[in-house]
Amino acid sequence: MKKQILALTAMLAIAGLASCTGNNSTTEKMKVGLLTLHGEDSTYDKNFIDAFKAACDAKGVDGKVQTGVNEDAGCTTAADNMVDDGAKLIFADSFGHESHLLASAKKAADVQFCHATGTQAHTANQKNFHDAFASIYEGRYLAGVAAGMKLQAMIAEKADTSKKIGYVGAFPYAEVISGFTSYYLGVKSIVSDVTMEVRYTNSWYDENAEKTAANALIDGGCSIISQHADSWGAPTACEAKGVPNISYNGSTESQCPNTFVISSKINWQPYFEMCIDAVKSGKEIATDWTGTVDTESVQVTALGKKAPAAGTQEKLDEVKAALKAGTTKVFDTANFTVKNAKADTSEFSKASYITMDADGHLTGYLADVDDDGKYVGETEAIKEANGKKYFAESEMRSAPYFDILIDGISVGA
Amino acid sequence: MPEKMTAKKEKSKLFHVEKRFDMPLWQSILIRFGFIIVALFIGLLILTISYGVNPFDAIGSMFVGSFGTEKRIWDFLRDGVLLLGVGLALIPSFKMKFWNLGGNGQIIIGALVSVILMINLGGKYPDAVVLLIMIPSAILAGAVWAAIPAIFKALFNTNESLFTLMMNYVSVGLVNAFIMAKYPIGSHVIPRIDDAHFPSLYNGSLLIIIIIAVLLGGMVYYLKFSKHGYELSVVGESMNTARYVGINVKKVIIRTIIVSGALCGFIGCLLASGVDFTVTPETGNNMGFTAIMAVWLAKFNPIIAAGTSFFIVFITRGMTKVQSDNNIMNDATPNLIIGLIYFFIIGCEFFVEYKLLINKGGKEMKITEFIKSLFTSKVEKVKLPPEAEAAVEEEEVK
Repeated sequence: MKKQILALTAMLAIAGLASCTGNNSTTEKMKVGLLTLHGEDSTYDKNFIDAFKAACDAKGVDGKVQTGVNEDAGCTTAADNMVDDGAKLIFADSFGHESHLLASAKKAADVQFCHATGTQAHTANQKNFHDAFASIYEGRYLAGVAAGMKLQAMIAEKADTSKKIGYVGAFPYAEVISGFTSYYLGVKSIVSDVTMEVRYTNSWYDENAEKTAANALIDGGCSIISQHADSWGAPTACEAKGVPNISYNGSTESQCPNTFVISSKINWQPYFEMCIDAVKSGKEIATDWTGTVDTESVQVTALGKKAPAAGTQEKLDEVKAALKAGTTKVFDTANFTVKNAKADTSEFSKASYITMDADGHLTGYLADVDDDGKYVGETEAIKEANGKKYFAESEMRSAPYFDILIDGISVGA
Repeated sequence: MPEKMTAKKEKSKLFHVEKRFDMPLWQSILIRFGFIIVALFIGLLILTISYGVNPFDAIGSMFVGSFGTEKRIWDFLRDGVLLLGVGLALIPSFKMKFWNLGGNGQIIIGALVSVILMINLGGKYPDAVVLLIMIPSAILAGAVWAAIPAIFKALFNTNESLFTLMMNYVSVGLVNAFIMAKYPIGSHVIPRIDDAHFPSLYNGSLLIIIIIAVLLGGMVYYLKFSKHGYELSVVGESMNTARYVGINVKKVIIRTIIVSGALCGFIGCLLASGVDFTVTPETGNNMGFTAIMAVWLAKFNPIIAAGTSFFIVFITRGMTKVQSDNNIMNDATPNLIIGLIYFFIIGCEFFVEYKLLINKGGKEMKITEFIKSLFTSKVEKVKLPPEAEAAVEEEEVK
């Protein structure tokens, strides 16, 4: 018996060694790198990785991905190593990578560095360092409309359905706040008296914390759950309890077939392709680039097969057209009030920079666009177009800066 | 299984383990080397089966990851000496049989103190002044962090493994509290600090390498030739003996652990000001634990610890390169293989320390003889009475 096992192991090993033949192609392709905070288990990073692979295939370049890159000097080292390996273009995907990636960019002037979600490129004065984001608030708004349709249908079916919805957020700062506010405004455009409770996990990826937060929201009477965090924690908690879920970063239907409604996501492929083309042809990459619905950077996935309400697709098409035409503004100041913003003492609600009219609608807001580390607002973010006042999110800088806690949204413990 | 480990009582026991006393050095090196090769082989097999990685390319990647370019060689040396530095810090306490599992916490507290000083004093005073304040402060912080459990151990005989382990969590909590207070917005990370960097000589690594090399020499001297080194090894052998020969055990425990913690705090300072330029709850990358393995494998010999540290850094860096070269999109696979290699390295110590005798047909033989006998068993088989034969068969089936 033992003899056979030995022989079998040896044979397997030899077969394994022999089955791989060299696959070195002789043509020299341009090398492009991607640094991600987590691996493919994280929906956020998977979204980057998938788009990166697709862009590299489409453009015929040699793409290398390094996962598990921490938000410390490890990011500088990983980027330096990619430069060493001959990469001409390097992307990083997490907010905390920025200053460490910038350190690498200063050392390699002939390599282009692109950072997603960052805030420093437009003030860093480093020619080969670029930030990018997308107006994901439009996608969130669309997802919110789908959630609103679902909530409306639930109320029509059962009159005592709670009009409170829940949201699991990662960290209390602009990217997350802007996201849940636009989502909430989408729901509110269908069900006008909806309220929302937000719970933070203080981590981008913490499956247990996300699951616990989602369960607490469901137990607290929330009818629909959405999230801005990167694990499967919240969607699977919803599936277990049969509560509709609005996802982010991509469809979660495979594991949540009964509760998946829709997901908004940023499609990074157009940006990746644009940068690859720019490097190939020696053109400059925009210092601070914002993708939109128009550039196909902001997307919503196909609706789930079971959970969404009837007529959702038609409504979405209508709203999407209005967003493209500019007739609907997500942060239209007429659609929300900020009366309680002053009462809120949390550090992210910078009450002193807010002015509002008698009804509580925003009339002025100084946003912290330059991100010089002082957390002081300096740029007027309220603009007017077509006779409508609106908060100009992602217009002065790609990364979001809407960080006001509006009326109707509360933060739970 | 345990009963089979004990000395042979009946004929039918399949295994018999015996302590070795006579293994020549070359043989023990050969065994260790062989196990590493086997571990690598299995690891590569996993990569080949699950990701279609060409094993020869993967071995190439491992070397490229550590030695591929000049910068990589410097990074490799720097990471290696930093791990060795933590190992050197832990050796005195482990030699004294004080299980200091708090290396991580002592490193992090040193790094945290350094970062606080870098942020608050950096830019306002010359870098040299900040460094002169920072280095002793970090050393002091690490020493205090280690001294607290040591004092409790010396005075109240508390369990030092649990105490030092828990101190790790306290230091991580302090880092989180500091970040929350200072950087309330964003995903709670301290951006790279640009002031008060540790001086660099030729590049960022060389000075660190020189410092740790000096520390290595100092530690060899301290352990081998100083009175302190003698005292701590006596305490490690037996506290009663130490008391009998007039060593102040309490004093030796506290003093040795302070040395240990101070060195960890210094490594934290090197990390914060010379490598990371920031502090996170993961600062040190669990070196406080990895270094335990490095020094344990080195039998607490500082010079051999240098070899084991570099080997650990080699496989870690190598696997990172294998991962990125083959677009493996998760950290679990490289971690699995690194874990496998660790497992084999630690497991092989069993075969270095003990002799495994296999009972086949009533005859005890070494593994080599046993393997030989598998191929010639028909000829050499000893005739046994039928009932004994049956018993042996039964055991073999098990």
